[in-house]
Amino acid sequence: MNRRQRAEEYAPPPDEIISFRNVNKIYKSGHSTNYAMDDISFSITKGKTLSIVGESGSGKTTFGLASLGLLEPTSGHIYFQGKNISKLNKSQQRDFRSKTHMIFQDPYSSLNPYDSIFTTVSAPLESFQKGLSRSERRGRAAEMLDKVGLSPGIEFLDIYPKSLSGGQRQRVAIARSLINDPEFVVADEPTSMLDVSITSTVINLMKSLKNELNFTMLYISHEIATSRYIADDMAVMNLGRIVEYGNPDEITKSPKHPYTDLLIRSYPRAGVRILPGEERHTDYNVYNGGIKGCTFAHTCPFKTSECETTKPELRKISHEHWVACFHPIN
Amino acid sequence: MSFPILSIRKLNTVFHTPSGDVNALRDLSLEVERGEVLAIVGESGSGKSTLGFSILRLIDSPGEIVSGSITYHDKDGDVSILDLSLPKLREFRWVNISMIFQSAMNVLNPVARIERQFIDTFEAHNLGGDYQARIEKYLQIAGLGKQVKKMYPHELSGGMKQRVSIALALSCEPSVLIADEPTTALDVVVQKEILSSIIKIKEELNLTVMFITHDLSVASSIADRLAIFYAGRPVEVGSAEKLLKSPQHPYTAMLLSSMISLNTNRDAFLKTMGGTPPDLRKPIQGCSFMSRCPLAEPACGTYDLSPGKSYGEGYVECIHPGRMAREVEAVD
Ligand SMILES: Nc1ncnc2c1ncn2[C@@H]1O[C@H](COP(=O)(O)OP(=O)(O)OP(=O)(O)O)[C@@H](O)[C@H]1O
Ligand SMILES: Nc1ncnc2c1ncn2[C@@H]1O[C@H](COP(=O)(O)OP(=O)(O)OP(=O)(O)O)[C@@H](O)[C@H]1O
Ligand SMILES: [Mg+2]
Ligand SMILES: [Mg+2]
Repeated sequence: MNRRQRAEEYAPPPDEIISFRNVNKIYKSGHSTNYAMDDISFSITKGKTLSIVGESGSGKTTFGLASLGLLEPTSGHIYFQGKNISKLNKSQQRDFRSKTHMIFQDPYSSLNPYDSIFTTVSAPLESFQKGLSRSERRGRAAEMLDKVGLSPGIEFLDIYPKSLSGGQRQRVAIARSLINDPEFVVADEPTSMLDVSITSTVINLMKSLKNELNFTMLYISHEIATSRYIADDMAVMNLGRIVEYGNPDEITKSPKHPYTDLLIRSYPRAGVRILPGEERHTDYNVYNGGIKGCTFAHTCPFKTSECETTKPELRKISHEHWVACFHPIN
Repeated sequence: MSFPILSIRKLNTVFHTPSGDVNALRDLSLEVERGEVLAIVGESGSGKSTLGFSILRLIDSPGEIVSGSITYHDKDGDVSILDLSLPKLREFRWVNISMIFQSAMNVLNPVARIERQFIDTFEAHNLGGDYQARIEKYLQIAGLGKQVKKMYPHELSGGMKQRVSIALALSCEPSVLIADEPTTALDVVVQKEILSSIIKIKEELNLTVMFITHDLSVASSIADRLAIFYAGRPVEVGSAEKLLKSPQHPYTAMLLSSMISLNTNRDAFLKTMGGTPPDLRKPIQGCSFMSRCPLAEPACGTYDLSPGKSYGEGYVECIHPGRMAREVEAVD
């Protein structure tokens, strides 16, 4: 990865869609300083699904919002197709907005209850394809609803969110996010409010639409098994940093970072009994803010003095696997 | 031989709503064995929380327990919970059976120090003794330091707040703990810590735990027995081990096969379960799972739920138990 800062614009490698360069997001409140993103340099590969996993507060949502320009980093630069997203002119901004979309966690609050399904789903067309007539928009909306499995789509156009189930609402949100053929979609915990049986349906849908429509997706979730299933690439976040990245199977089968290893080992497995006293009492709040060395050093069984003084950078350790650790598990 | 600590018989709890009466618990019968961890597993709306609230008689308007019985088998005799007078109920609750509420971490009073919340609970139940020592003891059991006493809820992480709720629920030394989704809002690492604490506490204090969750993996990693809930009743009850190995009810079998794990094949689509649970405002004839069941046949519609069923080990509410699991196996 080239870590030289380029402020305005560059010719991106053909397979890169988003690139973060030394991006920080710092929240200060009272005495505490919170690094929601801690010097992140990272690129998202075009046409792939990247999942980000990590515990609550690790910075996943912050990363997702920043990649869409919905949140201003404290410092550093973010590029979309080689253009610095904070330096876009009006028409470039419009172009960026029309090519990106976000799907939120809560299908109950993310849809406006007073808007019909047609109004909701066709909103991006209304904003970005002014030339379309109303009947064309209705046609496109009905077609998109069919694609997300609300069929016949035409019968859903004139109803309101209140008569839909949670799973159906999330399908509406997905239809809205895809109607304008976006190039980049961020889905932030899109199934965490849904029941198990509905989750599988929504995940299948997102996976097949992704293959059919060929956009790039950033899938954010703390649920590791679903993230592994849906993703082409996986990134693990810990306290504002990406500590491991690569092929989802490699990461889940042989995690290299001790933090990832802890995450995977903590994942509940059907029929594998949890024993009394397996606890590790951690208080993450204590460790927030400006860590010099590794963010996991405080708990890590393998830490050495280097881990407390030097920040480990992501480095390639095999064909499809990167880790930011001085003592990766082998 | 079974030694139940709680026996629930033909319990009906209803919510009176403008659009009709929701039959949240339908003729539910269930036995909780002394010293076990019993997990109640089911989809949203299947009646899991309503069962917890009913046991503690915390069902408020528009809800009502309309019939049935709940018996607590105390060392010195049986207590019929639904027949207790209000003052007796107050003495009974928390001291014998307590509950960690769903999203308990939001239940803590934001403007009171943690110790205040304990003291309020003790005073409400006329408990004597050294309050401070008692608070410290239960904070420690739940894996928290005594400095937490002086803190406010906003100074604690989600996992710490959840531990405070556990400590609070245990502080009156109940025999039965009902834990309603105690880890659902938490991350896997903290979840495992808390589950592991619950198991440890259970063994130390000789507790009986009713563990409510929608997550079958979590349930099977801590429970001795599972009760699979569907539309206001358990449709299958059995040992966790047996139920995972050979589910008897088609719903259990389908829940198991739609579980996503770290070994799920990434190149195939996930198995799904179509349809939705029945409308609890309408009377349900026969098997409640019929509309979603691939094995449904006319006889399922007249399946008689009421008499002569064993609610102990190996209860299943299906006219062709085991068939689904056998067929899934044959296909795989
Ligand atoms: N508006 C804000 N003001 C102050 N701190 C914030 C704000 N938004 C986020 N943070 C802090 O930044 C850190 C990262 O938060 P973020 O929401 O990105 O985490 P996350 O990984 O998405 O967590 P979750 O899994 O809980 O959604 C957290 O410590 C959080 O408390
Ligand atoms: N206060 C209430 N008013 C009206 N209906 C209610 C009320 N509380 C519960 N219900 C209904 O009773 C049924 C059972 O609800 P309950 O909360 O027990 O389900 P649950 O299994 O705990 O679900 P979840 O997994 O979502 O917590 C549902 O149909 C629900 O809509
Ligand atoms: Mg988030
Ligand atoms: Mg509930």
